Amino acid sequence: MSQSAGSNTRNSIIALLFFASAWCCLFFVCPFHLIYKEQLTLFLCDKAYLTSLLAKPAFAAVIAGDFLTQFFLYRFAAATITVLISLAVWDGIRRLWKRDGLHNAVLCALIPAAACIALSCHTEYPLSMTVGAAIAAWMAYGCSLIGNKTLRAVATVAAALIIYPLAGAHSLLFVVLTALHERKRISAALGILVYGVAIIGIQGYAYNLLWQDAFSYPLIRGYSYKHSLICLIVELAAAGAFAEGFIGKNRIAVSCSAVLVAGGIICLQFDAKKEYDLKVSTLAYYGKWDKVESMGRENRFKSQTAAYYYNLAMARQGRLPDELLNVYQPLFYGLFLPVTMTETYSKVLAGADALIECGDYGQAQHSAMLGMTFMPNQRSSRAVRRLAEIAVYNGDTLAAAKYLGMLDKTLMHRRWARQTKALVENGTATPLNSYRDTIYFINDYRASLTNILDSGNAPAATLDYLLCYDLLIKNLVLFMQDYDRYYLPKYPSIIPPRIYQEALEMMEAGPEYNISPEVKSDNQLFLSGQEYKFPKSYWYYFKYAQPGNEN
Amino acid sequence: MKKILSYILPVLIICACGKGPVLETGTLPELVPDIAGVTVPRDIAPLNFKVAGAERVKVEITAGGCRIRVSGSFADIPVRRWHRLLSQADELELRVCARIGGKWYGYEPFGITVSDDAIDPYLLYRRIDPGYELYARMGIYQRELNSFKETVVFDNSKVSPGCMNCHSVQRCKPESFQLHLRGNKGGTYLRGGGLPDRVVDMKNDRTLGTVYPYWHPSGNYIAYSTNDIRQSFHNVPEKVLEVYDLASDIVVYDVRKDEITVLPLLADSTKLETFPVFSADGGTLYYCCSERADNFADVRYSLMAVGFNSDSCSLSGEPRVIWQAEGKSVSFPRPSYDGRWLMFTVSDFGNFSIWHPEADLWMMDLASGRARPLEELNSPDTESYHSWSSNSKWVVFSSRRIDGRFTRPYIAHIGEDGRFDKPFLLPFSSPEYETLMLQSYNIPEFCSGPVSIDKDLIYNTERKPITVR
Repeated sequence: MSQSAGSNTRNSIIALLFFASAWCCLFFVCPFHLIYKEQLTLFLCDKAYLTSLLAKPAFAAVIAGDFLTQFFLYRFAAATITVLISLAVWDGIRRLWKRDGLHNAVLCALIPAAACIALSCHTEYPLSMTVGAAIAAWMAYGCSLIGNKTLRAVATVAAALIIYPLAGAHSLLFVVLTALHERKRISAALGILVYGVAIIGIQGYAYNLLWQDAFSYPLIRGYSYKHSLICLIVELAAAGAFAEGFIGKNRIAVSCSAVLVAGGIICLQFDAKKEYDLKVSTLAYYGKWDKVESMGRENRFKSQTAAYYYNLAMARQGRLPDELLNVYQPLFYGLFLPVTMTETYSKVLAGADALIECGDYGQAQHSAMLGMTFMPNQRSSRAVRRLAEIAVYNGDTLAAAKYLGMLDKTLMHRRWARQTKALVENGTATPLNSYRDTIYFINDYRASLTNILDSGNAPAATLDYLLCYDLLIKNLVLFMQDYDRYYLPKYPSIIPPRIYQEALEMMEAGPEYNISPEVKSDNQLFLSGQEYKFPKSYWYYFKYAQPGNEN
Repeated sequence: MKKILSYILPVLIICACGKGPVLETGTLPELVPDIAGVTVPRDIAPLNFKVAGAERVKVEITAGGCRIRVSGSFADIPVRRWHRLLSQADELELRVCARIGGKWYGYEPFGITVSDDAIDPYLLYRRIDPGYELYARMGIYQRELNSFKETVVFDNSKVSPGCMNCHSVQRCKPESFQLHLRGNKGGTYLRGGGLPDRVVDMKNDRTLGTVYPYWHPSGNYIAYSTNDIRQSFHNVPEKVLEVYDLASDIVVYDVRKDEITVLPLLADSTKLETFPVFSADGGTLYYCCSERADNFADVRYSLMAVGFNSDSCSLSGEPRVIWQAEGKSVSFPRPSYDGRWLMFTVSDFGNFSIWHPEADLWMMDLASGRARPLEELNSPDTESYHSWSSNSKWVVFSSRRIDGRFTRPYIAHIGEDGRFDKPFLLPFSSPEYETLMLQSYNIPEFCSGPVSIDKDLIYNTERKPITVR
């Protein structure tokens, strides 16, 4: 007896250590994958919104999952909530398997829980999936508590009917767990499997879902996760764990299996560069520009997003031309993030930030709107915040009221919405004057920036963005044209930033351009073969920079 | 009895408003949506509403001797009792109390007129993220007008994800229906012409792609515009997008033969012809036409008419301008089915009026040829697409009056004198619902019955080729 108690204690300690390690992994290794999930959702505390969710499968999982995802705004909460929900999955399965008399049920149940945690490291794997798994595990446990076989069969049939609207795709976990529970009665177990899978298919059809979608909802297929099989991982892990616990008693082997499952899934899907991109993007969204600056300067992944936000941070300080070539630049793709069908929604949404800085609210709105449109659920707290800001800048009070009204119904953005609304109402936030009306095609940055500059009402960053854009696309003729038209009349007597001087020197500009003697002599050195002395110069960029493979 | 009730009811409603004193404002409440003084058909879903800024409302709706009382965060009117009330009343009176900042306020009562003119029981529309050229998910939906029930006719979740547009029914009849599908399952779904449902491939080397459809009253033809459409951005904050045609012509499709007839008169490469519609008797083809211009802001469409011979599927006579105005451009002409009116949208330039905040609805009396702006329907923001009910007593039109971004359908009743009563927003179960929704309602069309689509035809059948004459 005491030996058994000791074994249970050891198992529980191992389980605790496992969850603690998982928490550390989520908190330290991939926190921004979790935090970004908050930006991919827009949960509204409103009866009409909640009612609209009832018409879709997995409504209980989605409501609970999306509600909790709001708190992912905070790194600590994101890791903690994910681990706690996975712990609920583990506990439900552990209790069930303990009743089944499985050896090391405590440890075996770690394996499907490990799969849940590892899958959660992906931005598009919603928390509602894990909540669905927890619902499935506990409903399976609940059914197993019924001793009478007939009653249990009736309860299982009824539960299989209602679990899909409640939990979605992971109702399959319920089917697997109850079938395993009935393993001694093969016909009953097979019956449950066939019935359960058929019910999911039929209900999916009734919800107007393709069969692949029926077995993956609320995970939306067609994004990073291309295959429905991804949703079977938890079920397969559960079946494998059960088999392992049924066959062997080796605690170490089971524990290692859990670690291997978690590690394997994480290794297969975790993308360190994406974590880096999400981090820099999120820090910019939170307004932590000092951190953005240091990340962009380092840019250890040679990331387009990090370069983009570094440039934006510099532009905000009026230092864009001074710092442009001191860091990695993916040609001109570090200045603007274009909107295309092949671009990721995170980049499309992020693309609004530089456009807002330049005063191009038309394209910024387009980026924010399409960023949200391309997202798995077409809802995003970050996109709605951006749209609200753009509407305020535009003086579009009706649209601003709509977006701010939506944010007012969230828990985490309510305060910001009310503050912004107050600014609009008391006239502190004043719209910019109108520009000269013209039209231009999508991603035509030059047309847009020159129009804003022509209006005479351009924000400070617009001119630097235009000139740097000319330089990075290596079009010195356009640079000279824009320099003469916009920069020289504005700053006739000051010495321009060094990068501009270098470009002007290449164009053999006259004395009215205030090129310093130092730049002139450096150019002579560069041309005389001492290029290695000027690796950060525009001359070097102009001569050697070529499109790479990055992004 | 009525007189006694009229004295007692205000007392009752004030008593019902709560324990504290009620402050009489002497004004109408700020209703969301605005339903004060609107005219509704008998078969319409409850006009649920809220009072702006109110934590709680209490509402009493009376008509004759019947009464409905509701309270809550918004007026959530029971569907059955509402219909019972509407079935026996011509006028409803609504009294509202609202709790704002912990205090109860009483407001002036307001009325809703109930019209005996019937309305088609369904509204068909596309729900789409605001009209950018890239898209994700969208679908054609139908809404039962006497309830809040919405069903999917077809959505693009199963055609990974293709665009669909320009659904059209012939005179509100679901028996004649067409829908364009784009992408890898592209084609035009067609029902009508006495043939089984089919998906045809309208692509051919003689015309541009078919876009805006309109059915002939016989059900034998569909007039299409063929457009080469582009989308660009404005540089001013108050405008967003400009959608325009580089080229456009008009063709007629024979639904019985699956054959396109090119109309040389309406295929002038120096002009832009679009938005064809047939008159109620089918003898006239109305459309919009503009000269080409280098500057997009100089493209202004006039409203044109030309005779149409349905026996030979040909035009008769010369096209003539029936309406144009200095500095204005016409789009979406829609004749009423009784032949009396022609409604159209007027904006400053171009033809894609949904992105023009200045766009308004106008209507021409076809007997006199005189047109007027529909001030009773227009708002400071965009009014654009519109269509008539089968009895020509109701119109549904798109408006962006709520937030300037997301299009919502409004319904209005027209009197014998050609004047419209105050329009009402398509009823939603919660007044919050439409404010929380991030999609637009596109091309609202009345329908006399539910539309169903044979999805198998879309997924699994070869596209039927057409001939061009």
